[in-house]
Amino acid sequence: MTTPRRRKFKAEPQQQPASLPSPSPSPSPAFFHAAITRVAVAQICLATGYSAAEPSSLRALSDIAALYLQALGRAAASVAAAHRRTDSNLLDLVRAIEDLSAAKGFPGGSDPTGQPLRSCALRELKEFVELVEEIPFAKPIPRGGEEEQRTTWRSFAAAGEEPPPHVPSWLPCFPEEPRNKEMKEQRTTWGSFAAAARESPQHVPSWLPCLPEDREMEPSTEKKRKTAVELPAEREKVVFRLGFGKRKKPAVGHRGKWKET
Amino acid sequence: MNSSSSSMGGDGRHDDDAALTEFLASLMDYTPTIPDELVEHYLARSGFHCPDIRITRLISVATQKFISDVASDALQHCKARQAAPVKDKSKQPKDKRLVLTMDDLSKALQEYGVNLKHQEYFADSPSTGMDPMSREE
Repeated sequence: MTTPRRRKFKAEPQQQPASLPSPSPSPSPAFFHAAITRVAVAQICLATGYSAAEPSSLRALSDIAALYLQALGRAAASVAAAHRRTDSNLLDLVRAIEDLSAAKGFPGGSDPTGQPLRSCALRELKEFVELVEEIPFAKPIPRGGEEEQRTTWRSFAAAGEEPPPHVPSWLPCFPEEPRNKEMKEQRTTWGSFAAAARESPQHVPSWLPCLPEDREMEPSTEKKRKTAVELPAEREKVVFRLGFGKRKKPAVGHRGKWKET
Repeated sequence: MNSSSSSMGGDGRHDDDAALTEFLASLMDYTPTIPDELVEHYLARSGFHCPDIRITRLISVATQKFISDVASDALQHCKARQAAPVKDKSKQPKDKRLVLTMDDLSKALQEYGVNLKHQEYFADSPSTGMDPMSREE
């Protein structure tokens, strides 16, 4: 039985551990956060008293740390939303912390009428901060370009633009119209056969748009048809009849007998 | 009785509020291990919005406390396993180093309601892949 490879850390939490896992030269955004979390969790384990950790267990614990963070945020946000607020405050957070520490339990958890600011979960956190020495993060984090990639929208009121009369001013602005002529030409405009003064094929009513092949034949008339075309007021009545064509022999005749049509 | 308890409660509340504000102020001095940018990224992903940075610090401290609790529980499991009478004498000097293993971690997380099961390697032991009930027999 081969023992799994163990990543060893020096037992000096204050100085930078020399054997920390160095991130790959260009980590993708998804793995970047996981790598940072792994380093932070490894530092916490070092401070607790461990001198080494299996890579799989370290990865599992850092995943759990990230999930716990997100669970705390989600719980606090939902408590705030239940009280018609978008920003969370300390009370929401204390409620979320109590919810998440319900599995292990904390003193005073059985009392639903207790004041949230006096809850013991908060007191335990306070004691933790006072007792435990702080462990600053080992390496500086390079600032990614993620903030620039985020597209922000501005409302009409913020942009100082006047919205159309039916649009409230707190909604985001309309996207910009394409300024290039080429972009405008790419917008498909179609003209009916009647408007183009062309004869439609027999089975096609004249108010339907022209077949695309016809348009390519005459490039000079394309410019005339760019404006919106009004449909003729009266159209031919279109009648559809469902039929199977000429029946030669029915599959099943009346009462099982063959019928000749 | 009610009036006295309410008056006592009023004084106690004042003390508690003062202690709480002091605690939040001390959070700004304390540097949590999980960096602020990482915490803000995860909180933004989960829909949490708060302009107050002390709340963000509180969340990172809460996570740090949770992880250190789990790690200390796992450490106790590890030490308990080492303290048990060892069969082979050769194993003992090597195991003076404390290593975070998947077994200790899964046992520690069981109390917190997290089920962590590590898939065993094929040749780990003769009882790999067998039913846990039959394995105990």
